[in-house]
Amino acid sequence: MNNPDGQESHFSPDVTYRGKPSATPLVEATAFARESPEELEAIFAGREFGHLYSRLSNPTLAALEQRLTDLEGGIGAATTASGMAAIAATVLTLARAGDSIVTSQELFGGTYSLFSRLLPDYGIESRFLPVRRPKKFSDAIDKNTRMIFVETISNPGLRVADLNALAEIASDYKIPLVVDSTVTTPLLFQPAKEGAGIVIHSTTKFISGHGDAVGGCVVDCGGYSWDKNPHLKENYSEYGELAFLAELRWRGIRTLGANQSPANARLTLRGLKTLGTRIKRHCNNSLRLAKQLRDHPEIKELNYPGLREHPDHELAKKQFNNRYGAILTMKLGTKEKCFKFLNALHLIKNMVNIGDTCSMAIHPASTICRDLDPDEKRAMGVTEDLVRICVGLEDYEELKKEIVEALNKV
Amino acid sequence: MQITVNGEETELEGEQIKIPELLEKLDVDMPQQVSVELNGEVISRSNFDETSISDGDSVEFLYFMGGG
Repeated sequence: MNNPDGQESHFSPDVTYRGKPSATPLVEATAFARESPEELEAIFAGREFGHLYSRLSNPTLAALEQRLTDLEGGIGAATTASGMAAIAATVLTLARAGDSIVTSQELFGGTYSLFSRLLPDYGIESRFLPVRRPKKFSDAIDKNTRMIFVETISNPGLRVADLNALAEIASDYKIPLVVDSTVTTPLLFQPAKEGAGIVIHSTTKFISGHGDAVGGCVVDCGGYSWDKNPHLKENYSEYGELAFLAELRWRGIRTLGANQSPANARLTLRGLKTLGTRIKRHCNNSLRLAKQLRDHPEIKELNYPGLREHPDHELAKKQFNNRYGAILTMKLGTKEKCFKFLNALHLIKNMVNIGDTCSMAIHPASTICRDLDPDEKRAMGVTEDLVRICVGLEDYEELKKEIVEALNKV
Repeated sequence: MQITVNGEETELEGEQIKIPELLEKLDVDMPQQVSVELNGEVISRSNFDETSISDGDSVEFLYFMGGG
């Protein structure tokens, strides 16, 4: 019999499975004991595989990384603490002081802040360009440019990137195209097929899909030869195609500590099981609402890539498998009218997120784009009279009734 | 045939073996995350299927997870 007072601090009983569990087990251990110092040395040296410490790797995170790799058709993935951590880790892996990145000006506010406010402090310049003018991207690239960055459908601007054209430009200049596909997910679009080098997701959104797990991921699509980046040449000679992921893990995750919690990865794996069903309903609800609301007298302009009057509709139709995402925006004339509309909502929540099961609405200019000056907001398509709605999985008729009643109160 | 794997002499049946078969035969963990060096040269993953290993070759497996 064990001494109850003596052994408990060492007692971590193994779990024995008889049959395959229906869900991926959550391994919440901080660290993993090895048999000997020789084994630890071999893992530290990279000669053997093994989990050591959950900031570096963890079995639940590895399961999610493999699933995301398969969904995107890539060669490997790394999970991160958030979507922003994924973007920051990617830039800091590819660029150094004196380098530049070329990016669309229509971006999520957090990404724009990273590129325009934080990276310059570390000597990395961002050149912002209208996403529908690929030629301008080409003109902005020089010998120190390390990547092109775009969102598939910009949030909240809702402009659509021509991924094929941008991938060709990136290829001409031998730099990777980095694509944030958070709002499209692999169900609408797999950037690897168009020649992207890297795909990023805020898995917080549609990938996990239930508003309960913050996380991000970076997937290496496998089409870019990392020896062309001067900062990865040494890694390339050691790791070949895995050079980028090796450096990203060292910089962004191991050294900066932006690892994802295994508990969040476990929830994300659960959410992924219903990705197809959820995304189809998100998109169907959104398209029906956009068509229903486009002629409402209180709406000055309704913006949704699924509407034929949207400037990027044809491109979206071709690229995204006849689905257009779950975000729509509308201009109501003034900020006051936007707030009246938002205050009249009950079912749809005043909440800053996208990709949850429930619908939510915000006034972007005073929330997610608050840090930007008026010119920057204008370039992103964010005006003072703009409302963003992320359409959830509710019954369509209830959503329509809620929005029409709120509009009538404006 | 006799090859060297991560510095250790290893005996294998047959005269040649492709990289995917070698990874399987040696039960290499997480094969999708390992880099393979053959006689000092990193082998591109897209060439794994057509790269043969034969008697006297030296193979190194390298993971990028280690250490912290």
